[in-house]
Amino acid sequence: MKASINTLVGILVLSSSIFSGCAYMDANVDLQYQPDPGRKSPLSTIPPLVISINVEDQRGRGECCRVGVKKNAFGGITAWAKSNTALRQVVYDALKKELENNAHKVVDMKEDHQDVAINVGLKNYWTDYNSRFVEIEMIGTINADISMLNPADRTVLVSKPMTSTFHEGRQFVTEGAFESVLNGALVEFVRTFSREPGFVGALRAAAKDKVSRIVR
Amino acid sequence: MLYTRVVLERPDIKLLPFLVLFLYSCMATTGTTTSLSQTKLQEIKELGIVTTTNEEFSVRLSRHEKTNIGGALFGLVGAMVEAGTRSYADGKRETELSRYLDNYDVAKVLSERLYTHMESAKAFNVVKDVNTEVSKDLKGMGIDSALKVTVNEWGLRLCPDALAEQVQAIYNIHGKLLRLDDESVVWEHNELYLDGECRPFADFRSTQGLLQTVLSRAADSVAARIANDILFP
Repeated sequence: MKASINTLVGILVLSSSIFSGCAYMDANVDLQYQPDPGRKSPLSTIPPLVISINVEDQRGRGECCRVGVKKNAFGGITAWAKSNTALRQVVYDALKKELENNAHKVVDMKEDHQDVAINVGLKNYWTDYNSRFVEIEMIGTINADISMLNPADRTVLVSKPMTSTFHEGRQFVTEGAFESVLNGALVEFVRTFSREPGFVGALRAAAKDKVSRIVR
Repeated sequence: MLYTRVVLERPDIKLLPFLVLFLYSCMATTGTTTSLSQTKLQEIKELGIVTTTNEEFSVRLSRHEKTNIGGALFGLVGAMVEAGTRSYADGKRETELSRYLDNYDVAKVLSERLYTHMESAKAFNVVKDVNTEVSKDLKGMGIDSALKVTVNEWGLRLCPDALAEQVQAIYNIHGKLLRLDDESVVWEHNELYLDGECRPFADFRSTQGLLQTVLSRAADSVAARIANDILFP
């Protein structure tokens, strides 16, 4: 009896030290978007364009690669969730892959020949979580201001803010959970971008303009 | 007692709570709660569109301003009084602008836009804008799938980070695509659409027809967004 109590206490002490150690360690997450080659978006209905993408990280100073926090039972921050790749690069790569998956060419901003320039001001890329009765709800959010310009004369074709969120129910908030939710938010972000009628319309107008320039 | 006996005698039932918890652990709830597959999309030949709403035009301006002075100064009672005051202020704005709507039928406008976008895609043999949700009636019209859209909120909302009282059009939509043969839901999506075109609230008082124009343009964008989500799964 005494031995089994000692064993139980030992397990409890070991478990609390292991789990609290995890709670005080930063979660390092790999954020990336992989398009499905077989799945096309409305961007594929637009004749191929040459597009440049410029992403600016306009989040608060000092946020760097932070994308979430680990909290203790009192709501105090114990550690950070951090992206292994700079967030502006994550968003740039995601949009580039989506555009290329739909037959458009993405070039450097300094390239002379471009049909459309896309500017992205990243305002927020964050995950948070709330305790519910039987689960923890994790929410990943991306906010960005997106504008599309005619590179020749810098006319704004369209400009609007975009928000995408991804929710996931979990039993434990682990490093994998942060990564899953943040990547889910990135998928929603790309999906919203590629289906937003304002953006699709602006690219379609640019393609029409390109054809009329060639005909002339 | 009966429950206890059943649980003790059926070991598989004992596992049920753990199974529920396990399944709960990985349940994703996103804007699109049921994704449409390419196969299911190709099965749809005759599509009926029905849009409904039980909601009136709404203005959320005071309720979205980021202050909580009442709560900070007077605690819970202060917060409740402040919430009530904000709700009253928004209610006055709703009454004020509603007279510019002239019996604007938001469900009809959205349905017409959805019909236009779905029909022009040429993805289905037939697209019909219908005014019944009853499956039997829809089947009688030769429809095999129904796109049911519910408008949960529509109107104007405060623009975030705006310096003055600037508002934008908002639609909060729930959409569901059902196969009528087995009533299965093949696509389900919740959309909170903000059109991003912020303008001073006072413009809606001073410019004739602006409110209807802005709401209709946002309805067209929402409809196009829903159409894109369905047609490109």
